[in-house]
Amino acid sequence: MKTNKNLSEDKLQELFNKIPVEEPTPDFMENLLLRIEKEALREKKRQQWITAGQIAASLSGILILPALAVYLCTIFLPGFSFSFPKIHLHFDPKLVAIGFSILMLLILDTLFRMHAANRSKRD
Amino acid sequence: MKNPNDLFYIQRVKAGDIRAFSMIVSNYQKMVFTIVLKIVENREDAEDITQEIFVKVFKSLERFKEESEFSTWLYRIAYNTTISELRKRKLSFVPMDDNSVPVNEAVTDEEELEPADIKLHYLDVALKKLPPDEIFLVSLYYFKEQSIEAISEISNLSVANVKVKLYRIRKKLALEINRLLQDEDK
Repeated sequence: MKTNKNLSEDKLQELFNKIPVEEPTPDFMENLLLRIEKEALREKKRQQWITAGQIAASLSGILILPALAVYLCTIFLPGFSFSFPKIHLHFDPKLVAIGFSILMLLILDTLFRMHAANRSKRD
Repeated sequence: MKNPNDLFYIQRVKAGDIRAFSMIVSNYQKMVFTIVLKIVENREDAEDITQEIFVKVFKSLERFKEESEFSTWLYRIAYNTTISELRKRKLSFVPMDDNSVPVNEAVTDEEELEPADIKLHYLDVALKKLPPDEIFLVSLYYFKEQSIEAISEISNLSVANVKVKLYRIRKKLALEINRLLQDEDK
């Protein structure tokens, strides 16, 4: 059977109009929404880590650095002691050092997680 | 023209209502899926890529400026995601040899398809010979009836470039379909 030849370019639009619109499978939407919900949860956790990191960074500036300065003074400045006689408060410098170290490790861990959360957003 | 429904649901999603995103997906999933299906070999891959597109749309929704046309913005993500997913999965097909017509291309039994359907079948065959980005562009123009300016924004090509590309693609398609029709008669 000879068919009508020489499809002209303007007939292309007519042909495209006849292309049937396809649909994904019925569970496409549900799978997509499940995935979106997981993404939203990940994003929420990421934001929480960023907030925690920001708080940790602020705390380190407000509390830790001056405290570390006081500790260094007890070591390098003779006569300087980490104590408050009027309120009967005395600190063992070694214990202060250990306490600061643990706090700094916690803060560094939080900052590291915040950095990882920021990187995952960029990725 | 901006669709007020799109903006309404976008604002709902931004406010935290994830289920509102399903309304946006419902408006666009068929068209996006149909275009992607024209590019890849099978429905499973087309569904995977379509899902990837809408996940990226969701993740990028915060950056969408509501003064812009949402459909153009969505199709831009669809275009870029399709091309990059094809590269990642190495799903891009190898165009067939121009001198040969594979057995399943030619319609040998005239009673199988009506003449109009034969041309539609050959359109499908001819489309599959184009590179993925060209299939996407020509589908946006003819199938989705996007304007040249919209296609320029979607593909990040200049308007002049889009016009030239579409002109060349039209010529290629018409030539290929006519060749297939003539081969059928031999």
